Amino acid sequence: MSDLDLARRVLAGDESAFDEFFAVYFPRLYRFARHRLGANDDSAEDVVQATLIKALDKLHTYRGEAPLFTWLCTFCRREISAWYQRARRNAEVSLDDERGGAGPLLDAIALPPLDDPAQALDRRELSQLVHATLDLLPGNYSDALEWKYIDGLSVVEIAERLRLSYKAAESLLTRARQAFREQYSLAAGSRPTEDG
Amino acid sequence: MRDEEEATAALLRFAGIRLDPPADRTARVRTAVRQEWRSAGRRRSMRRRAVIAIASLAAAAAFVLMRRGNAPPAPQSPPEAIVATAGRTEGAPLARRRIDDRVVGLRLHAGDALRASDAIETDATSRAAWTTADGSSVRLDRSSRARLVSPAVIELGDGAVYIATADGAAGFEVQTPFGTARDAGTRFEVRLGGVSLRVRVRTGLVDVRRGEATVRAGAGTEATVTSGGMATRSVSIHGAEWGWMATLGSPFPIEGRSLSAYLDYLSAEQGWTVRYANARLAQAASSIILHGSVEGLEAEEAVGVALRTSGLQYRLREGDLLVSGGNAQ
Repeated sequence: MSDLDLARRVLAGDESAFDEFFAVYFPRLYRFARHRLGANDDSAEDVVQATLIKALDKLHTYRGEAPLFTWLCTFCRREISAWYQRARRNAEVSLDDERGGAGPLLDAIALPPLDDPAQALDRRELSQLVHATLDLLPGNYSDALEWKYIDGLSVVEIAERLRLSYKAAESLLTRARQAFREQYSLAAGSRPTEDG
Repeated sequence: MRDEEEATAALLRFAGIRLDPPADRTARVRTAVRQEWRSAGRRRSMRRRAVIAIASLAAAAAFVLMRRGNAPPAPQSPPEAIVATAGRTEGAPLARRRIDDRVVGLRLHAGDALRASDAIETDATSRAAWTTADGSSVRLDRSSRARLVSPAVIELGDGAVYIATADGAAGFEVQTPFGTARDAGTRFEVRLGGVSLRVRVRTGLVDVRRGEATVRAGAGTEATVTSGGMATRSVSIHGAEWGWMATLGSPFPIEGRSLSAYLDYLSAEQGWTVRYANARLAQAASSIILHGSVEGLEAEEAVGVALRTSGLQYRLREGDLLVSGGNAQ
């Protein structure tokens, strides 16, 4: 289902669509906000709650031209800014990043070379970058990558979880890796290499 | 593994798993946002009805006769009753829910509302727990499927389920193709095999029914139902075979809680029998307040930490926890 289809179903009052919308976007927005609020969980909760309420109120204006997560992030940035204004620390968040696509989502994170991450960044910053990159991918891509390379699941097990054939799961993993590298390279301001 | 795959894998492993927001925060935000979303939906619906009414009046003025060929919309069914709230999960369990004429699979998360007729499914890598309206805890093992019939009734279609009824609960019923298990305030596991039903009772009493026949199983009893009949035997109420459901139980933060409350919790979750060396020690346990955290420790390690830091000694053997000695005595 496309982002626009999901938005339309939410607007139509479909409870299962709301569940899906919340399950997909709340964790991503929470990580997005928390990182920008000094890892403050209370503030992240308040900001994301306000973000979702306002975004849902304006959901009829979503046209599907950008990914839904990117669209939601514009609301989240405003809420973060408002939070800092209330806290009289407005200077800490910049809203004037005009880069398109993933750029605004990945700001304030230094970028390491892909082949030697450990030497380029400390673990926390690199983790944030990788997690932000995963958050930008379609949900089944990021889940499949984590299951395969962090949880150590086999392709067979991933196929079972996603209710796909072995071939389809294998193909999805290939596309997920490619998407991850492209998104990561985009964040780093470089092009993906020929071999992926 | 090819170079590009190796590089991606290394990067992902280095970063580790993305952490989900804490369950309590997720539940709070979901409730608040859903409430607001529903209210906004009602407001939109009222606005739409107002527009339709105005349009109808205009049409009536323009046409003297109105065609009545279209049947009025069918009254909307009330939403299915919410009968439970999802608790801890492992892996990616699903809630299958009928919406209109379709059944959709929703990834289950802690805090999700569960409705009558929802079916909860786990695969080989997932488990799920939920709490019913009366506070009873239901925990579904791996490779299992259960449908919620009402707050206190489930149909087990596959796998195994563990029930810990709340104090004062009116009882719980697990229906299976091989028979029904009904309790009156207890903790028990129901597991379906290929051709049999097995009920293990940890505390209290469970009636296992198949057709007209009923067997009453007490604590430490296993009842097995097959096409040939029903049989019972004694089983241990603690140990590794009971371990899976403990992983789905609600955590017990010890900070600020009494030692006796913590030992009661362990007794319920682990099936241990807690004994004190004397009455004075038993009384003292309720006034000993614990501090810190034992999160992440196995129960056997955690109880050792809690008791030793309370200045007490203990012996844990075959599910029997004897608390003794120390300054509190």
